[in-house]
Amino acid sequence: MEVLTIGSLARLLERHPRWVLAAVLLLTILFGWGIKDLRFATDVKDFFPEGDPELEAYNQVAERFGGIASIVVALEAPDIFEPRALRSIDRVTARLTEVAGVRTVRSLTNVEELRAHDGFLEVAPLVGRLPETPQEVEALAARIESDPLYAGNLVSTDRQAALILVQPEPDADAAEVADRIARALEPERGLLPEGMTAHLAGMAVLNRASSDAILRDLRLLVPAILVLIGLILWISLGGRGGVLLPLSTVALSVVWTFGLMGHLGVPVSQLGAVIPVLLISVGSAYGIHMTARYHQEAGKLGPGSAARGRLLHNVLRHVGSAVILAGLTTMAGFAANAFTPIVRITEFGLTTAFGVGVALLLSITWVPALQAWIPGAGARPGTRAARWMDSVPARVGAHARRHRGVVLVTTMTVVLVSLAGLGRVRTESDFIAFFPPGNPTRDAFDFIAHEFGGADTLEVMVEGDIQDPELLGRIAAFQEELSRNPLIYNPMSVADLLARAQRVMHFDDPQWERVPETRAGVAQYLLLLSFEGQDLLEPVITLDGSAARIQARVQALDGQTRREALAAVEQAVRRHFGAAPAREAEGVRVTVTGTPVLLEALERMIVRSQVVSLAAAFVAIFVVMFLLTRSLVHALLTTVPVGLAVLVSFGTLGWTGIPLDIVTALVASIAIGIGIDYSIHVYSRYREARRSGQGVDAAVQEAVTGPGLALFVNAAAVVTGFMVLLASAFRPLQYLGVLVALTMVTSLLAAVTVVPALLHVVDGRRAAAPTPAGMASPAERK
Amino acid sequence: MLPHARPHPRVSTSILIVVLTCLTAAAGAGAAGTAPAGLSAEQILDRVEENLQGESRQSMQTMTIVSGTSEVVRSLEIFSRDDDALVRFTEPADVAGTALLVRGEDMWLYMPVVGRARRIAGSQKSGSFMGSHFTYDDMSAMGYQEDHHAEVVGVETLDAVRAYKLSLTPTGESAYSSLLMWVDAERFAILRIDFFEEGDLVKTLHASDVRAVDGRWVPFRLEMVPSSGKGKTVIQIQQVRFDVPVDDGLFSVRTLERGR
Repeated sequence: MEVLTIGSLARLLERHPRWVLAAVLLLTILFGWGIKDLRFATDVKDFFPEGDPELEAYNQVAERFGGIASIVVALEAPDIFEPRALRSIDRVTARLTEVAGVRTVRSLTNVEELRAHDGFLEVAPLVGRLPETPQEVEALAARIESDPLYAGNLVSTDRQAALILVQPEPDADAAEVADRIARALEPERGLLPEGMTAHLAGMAVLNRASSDAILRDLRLLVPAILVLIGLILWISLGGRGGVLLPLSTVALSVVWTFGLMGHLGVPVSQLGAVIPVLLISVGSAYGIHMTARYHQEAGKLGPGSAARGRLLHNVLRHVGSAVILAGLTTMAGFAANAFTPIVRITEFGLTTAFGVGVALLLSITWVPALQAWIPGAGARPGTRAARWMDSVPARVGAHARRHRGVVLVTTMTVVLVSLAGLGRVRTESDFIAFFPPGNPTRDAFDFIAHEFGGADTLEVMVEGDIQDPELLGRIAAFQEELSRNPLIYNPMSVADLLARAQRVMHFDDPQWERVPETRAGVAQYLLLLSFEGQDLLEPVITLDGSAARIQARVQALDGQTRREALAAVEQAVRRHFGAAPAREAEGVRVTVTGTPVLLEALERMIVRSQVVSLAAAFVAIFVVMFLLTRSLVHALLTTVPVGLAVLVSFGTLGWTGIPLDIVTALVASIAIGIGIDYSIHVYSRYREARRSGQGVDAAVQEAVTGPGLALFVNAAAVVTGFMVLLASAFRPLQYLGVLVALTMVTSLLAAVTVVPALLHVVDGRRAAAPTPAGMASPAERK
Repeated sequence: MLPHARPHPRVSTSILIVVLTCLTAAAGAGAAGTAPAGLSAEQILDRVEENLQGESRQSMQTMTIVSGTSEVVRSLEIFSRDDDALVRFTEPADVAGTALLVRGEDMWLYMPVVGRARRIAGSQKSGSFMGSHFTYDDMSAMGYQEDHHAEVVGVETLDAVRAYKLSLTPTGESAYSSLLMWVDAERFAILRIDFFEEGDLVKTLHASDVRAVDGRWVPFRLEMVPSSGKGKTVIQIQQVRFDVPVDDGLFSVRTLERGR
């Protein structure tokens, strides 16, 4: 069947290479057309599947309370109350208010308060007139620092930072608003007094910075990797054809893949830059095999041969099935990500599997068609470099055979050390950690985290009869407990406003600063607070009094403290509102959400995703290897190298402290999908040798020596390709580059040392026995 | 009122005016006969405002504010005479009795739970009126004539009613860059106003259910809809009377605190 197909493919390629070329070009245009529709999705929310309860909770709170402020400007100054600093805050606030798509801007200089002023009750700006004299400055500072409603909220307690909170319109693209804010801020930076700086942070800002970084990565990394892989091809295969044919297949597969993403509306996430790196470094291998074999076969036939049809047929039959098998395992490894709960990882797995499929398809259509069309467009093997590369795996293999004990001890040591590191692996879901310190966005987040706890807020929504003083009392007590926790900053709720209103109505007597005791009292103070519009109330209570929101900042410097803070919040929820069933019975619902909660949920998903994709990849690979080997034992031992590679990558995560995140979580499936190729090549040669009647010893030797060049070039291309990621703007992508390189080296080394050793052990005992019939794949049985 | 740290334009009296006065026209004018042809914008606005300053008025109305999935309905009773007004909430029960007294520039608030009246400062013109989609500015329609440059830009049919279409440009400080106003050509009641900020439509007022009351044409339903389409405020008049005799003591802090 397969031979038939290959035969007709060979005939088609031989007779009508132009048709094939034209078809490929046409499809390239059709797919490529989709690239213009590509968009970015970098928000933590974008990683959740639709309908995810955590995501729904977030959207619900945002919808009921008119959005969640996602852009934060922090101004840093030696003393924020100094008149010039205050004027700057005022000016920047005014400037940001004018930016299109901005719903509200809140800062020290424009926030309004309800107060008693000279016997009048009024809602007026907290800072009426900007202070001029040192006395006025001190008076203002004393007033704000003594008021728990404002101290440490819009101004840090050390007086060195002020926040300007920007909430985009609910239907505006927050990242675009962030972009406009950044541009509006630019001229303002120059006007800031000496020693004063502006920091821009918040989820929308992070998303914008991430999109920029992805774009930069794509522009920088893709050409870089094409050049480097081209160089490797030139050194190993030589000749224009040897370089251009494999490179053209990968370039086309990148275009098809991104084009398909555009057509299907699959966005480019932080994982986006990995796609071309992966496709180019993996895909070039298929072209390499086809090109190299073409040249070999052409050499055998001699120039001007009439049997060119046979030539293509031979190339496709000999290399085709191996290339297809290698490609299929790689696709299976990537596609294993389809089972993860993280949408962007699922899409990544499927689109890269598609891209590998394209590279595979092109390498058996596009490449031979070009070769048929332009005779002599082959490689020029036999360079000195190529011969050296060819010999490396053989020499490593030979050493290993001589020192089996060393191989065994080394392997066991690596396994044990890696296992010991497993327990140390930590996870990370905060995308700001993607940027290294020194990056302006990262520094802005760190600065705000240091001064205010974090740029993004924790949101607790309490649904029920909020005008019920008993429930309000619980909200106030809950908030009070949060404010005592050193990891939680400035919780705010409607209880604060009601207490303040009651105090103000009672001649500013601090004794009255408490939640009103009757239902009528609550209703009347709410009415009073609404007199000036919904600005004061909208962020904390819905119009109909059916839901209240408590906002706080939680210490977000690292995942561990965030986890502790969120655990404390959950505990406080249970303490003040009871367990969920009891709450529901009383008609009270409590929802805890906000960016910190989403980050925490994503972190749990990363671990789940890792387990699922790892299991799926191993199962898929094992099934493929079983089909190839028709032997459970052989399938198992050929899977050992990728198992080792995965173990080493986790050990490395544990011992280096590189976190497991949405990017490094891909290492395992990449290592399995690509790493298995080395086992396949080694095993295929072993099987070929055995089938030709060689003994186990000779076959094991041949298995490593035979595919030497292909193994080496393949590994070199993947390692080089992924090392290019070291130039990425994202730290996890840099880590991914190193980790994949490490797993490639591990699986290659294991394939040429451990696999032969295991084959020797397993098959050695029955060395005299004839080749098991099951070892032949259907393709071999003519 | 004492000087404030940062001066705000204030319209203390507007709270009352809100309600109805602004969009009331003299019923007599339209009832007189056919629509006068070729009226100038000034003449049209004159007719609209002609009888706004009634001796006194009393009304009952509901204000429904819709925001997102949330809605709140409040009933108010309003007495006004010249620059004085008393606004008392009657529903829902929790806020019933809460009242505002406005005397010229001065304002007092009475809340039953506090049991005493407190003086309160006026509001910013462009601020929301009691959390609604109306601003105090929208309510104080008295100034259309004097604060705007007006011109007639056409005659259109609005819900089967012939209406003058006026373009108004503020001459002084305003939250809006311009207004488009449709005035019933027969009854001289305002039917619709489009509010523009920097040339962009921000909200639209629809006045409907125009009824004749004591010789005036009064729209009983006022609906303010922001152009975002999110939320709205509906003022529905239940009952309105003009030139009712008002006791002098009505507009006093004592009456306010007595809760009537």
